[in-house]
Amino acid sequence: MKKAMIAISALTIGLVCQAAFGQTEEGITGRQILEKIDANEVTETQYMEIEMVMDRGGKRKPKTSDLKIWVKGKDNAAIEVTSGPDKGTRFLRLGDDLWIASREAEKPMKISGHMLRQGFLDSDWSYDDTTNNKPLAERFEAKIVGEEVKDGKKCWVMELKANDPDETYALQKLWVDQATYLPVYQELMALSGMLLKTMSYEDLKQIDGRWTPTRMTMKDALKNKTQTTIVVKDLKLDEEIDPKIISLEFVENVR
Amino acid sequence: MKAIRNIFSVLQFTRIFLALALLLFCLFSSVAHAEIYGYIEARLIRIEGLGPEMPLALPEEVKEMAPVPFPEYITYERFRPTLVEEIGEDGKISLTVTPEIHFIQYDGQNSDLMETDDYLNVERLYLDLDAGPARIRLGRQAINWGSALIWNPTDMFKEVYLTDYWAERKGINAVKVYVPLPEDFRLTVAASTGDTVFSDNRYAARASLARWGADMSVVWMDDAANDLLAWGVDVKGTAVIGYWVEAAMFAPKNRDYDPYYQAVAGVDYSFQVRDGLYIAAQYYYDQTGDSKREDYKWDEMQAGKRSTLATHYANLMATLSWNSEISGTINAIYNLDDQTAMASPYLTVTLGKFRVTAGANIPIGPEGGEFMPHPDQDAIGLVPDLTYYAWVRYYL
Repeated sequence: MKKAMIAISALTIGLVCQAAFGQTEEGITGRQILEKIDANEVTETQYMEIEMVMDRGGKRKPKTSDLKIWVKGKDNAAIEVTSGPDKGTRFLRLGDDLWIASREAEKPMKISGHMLRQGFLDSDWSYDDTTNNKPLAERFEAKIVGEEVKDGKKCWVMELKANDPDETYALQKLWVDQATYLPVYQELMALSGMLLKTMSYEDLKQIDGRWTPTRMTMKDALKNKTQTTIVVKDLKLDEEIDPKIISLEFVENVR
Repeated sequence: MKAIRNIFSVLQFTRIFLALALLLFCLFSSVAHAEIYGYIEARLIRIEGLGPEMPLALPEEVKEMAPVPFPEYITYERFRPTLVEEIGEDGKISLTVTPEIHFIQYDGQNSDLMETDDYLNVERLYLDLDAGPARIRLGRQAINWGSALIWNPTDMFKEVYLTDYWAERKGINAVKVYVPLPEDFRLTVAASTGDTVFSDNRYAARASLARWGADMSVVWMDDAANDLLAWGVDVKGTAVIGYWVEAAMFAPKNRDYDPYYQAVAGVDYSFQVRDGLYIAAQYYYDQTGDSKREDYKWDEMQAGKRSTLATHYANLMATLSWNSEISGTINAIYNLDDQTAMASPYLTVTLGKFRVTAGANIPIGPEGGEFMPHPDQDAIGLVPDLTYYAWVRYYL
C-alpha cells in the first residue's frame, strides 16, 4: 500500500471558504487576502464524501475511488476509502502524526514523516497536500503582483513565499477571485522556482450557506499527462463527529 | 471422447471446483447483502537445485510431508474471498468469514487430497462487537503486532516470512479486546488457543501511547505452549528519517534455561524519484541463533521452530514506484555471521483489478552458510539454488 490522503489543505482553503461575496476592496494587501481566506476556515468540523478520479493519461482508463473524510479542528482528520481497489483502507492524522490501516495488512502502521511528500492512492495529491491545514497567513509572506481574468473571474495574482524553507511548496502563485476571496488557480513551486504542481478550483456551489468549489483538479507538472480531480458529493459543516472516528480506534479496527 | 478428456485434462477437477466455489460464494453474498472482497490467485514457482533424491538425513515426518522426488515446479491456486455481514441496524456487531480454497500441484500432478485441510482453510471467522468503549473481536483471526519489517520480536503471535513478508497471517483462535484510554493511551489484550490442542494457550497485553511524534508500546505475554514469559518494547517515529526499535526478552518458566533477547532497529526514508523511491535498512539480533555455522540448529528450522539460524542479520529493502501501475522491489537479507545472503528482487504490475508479480529468491555468498548450504553439510537438503516465481491475482 503506498499512497494516500485527500485534500484537506486544499479542500479547506478552497472548499470551506465562507464566500463573503462583496465589493472588491481597494488597497488590500496580500497578507489581508490570506487572512480573509484563513478566516473563512471557521468550521470546527467537516464531513465530506468525495470522488477522486485519477486520470493516468493516454488510453488508460481513469482510476476512481470514493472517500469519506472527517476533519476536526486544524490538524485532525480521518479518511476511509469506500470504493475502488483500496476499499476499506483508512488514514488518520492527529497533529503531525499519520497512521494507515488496510484490510490486507490487518494492523495499523504509523507512517514516517518523510512519506508526507509521497502520493496518495496513486493520485497527484501527496499526503502533505491533503493534511497540511495550517493557516496560510502563518506559513507564507504574500504580495499582490497583478490582476488577471482567470476562468472568467477577475482575480488578484499573488506570490507566496514560505517562512519555513522546508515547506513542500516554498513558492506559490495564487489567483484569488476578487468577488469571493476564493482561490481560482494555484501554481505550486519548489524553492528553486521549479513548477511542481498546479491546482484549479471549479464548480462553485452553495452548501450550508457557503460558496465552495466542488471540483478541484491537481496536475503534477513533473509527470506527463496525469491529473487527479476531486469532486465533492456531500459536505456537512459543524456537525458532531463520533469521537471514535478522530482517534486511533479508527485505524485499530479495520473491518 | 478424446476431446472431452483433453478438456478435462486442461481444466481439471481443481479448477472446476474453484469456479463453482466462486459462483456459490458470490451468489450467497448477493442474497445475504453482505460485503465481499478478496481475490483469486494463481502462482507458478520454479525451483532449481533440489533433489531428485530425498536426503537421507531428513526426519521421517518431513519425508512424509515432502513430495518425492522433489518437484522442479509448483503451481498453487487460491480463492480467498472475505464476506462481512453487519448484524443488526446499529453496526455494533459484524461477522467476518474468510475461507481459503487452495490447490497445489507438483510438476503438474495433483497432490493427494485426502483431508479437507488439504484444500480448504477457514482463515477468518470472527465476530466484531462494540461493547461500550471496548471493541471485542472473537473467533479465528490474525493478530499482528510490531513496527519492524520482517522480524517482529514484540509480536506474540509471530510468523516470519523472509521472502513473502506481506503474506497474510494464518488465522488463530483468539479473543482480542481493544480499549481506548484517555490521553492517547490504548490497551489491547488477547488470548489464543491452539487448533487442536487446547492447552496451547497464549495470553498477551499491549499498552500503547502516541506521543512526541512516536508510537510507543510495551508488551507482555504468557506463552503456555512454549512455557515462556516475555516482555517487549516497540517504538516507531520520525526524526527527519523514519526509525523503529523493537526488542523483547523471553524468559523460560523453567529456570534451568536462561532468558534470551531478540531486537530489531531500523530506519527508512523516501525520495521524490518517479512516483517514489522508498529505502529501508534494519539490523536484527537473535540471541537464540548461532554465530558459528557448525552450530546452526537446522533441525529446529525443519520443525518450523525458527525461521533463521544465525545471531546477526542486516536487511536492506528498496522499492521504486515507476508509475501508478509498475513498481520494483529488491529485498536483501544478509547473514552477518556467515556472509551469505538472500536477495529477492520482484516486479509488480497492477492493471485494474489484476496484479501480476514476478520475482526470484537468489542465494548469494560462500558455500556452507545459511543461505548457501553445502549439500553434504546441509542436513535439511531443502534449500534450493534458485527459486523464481510469478503470480497473478484478480481482486473481487
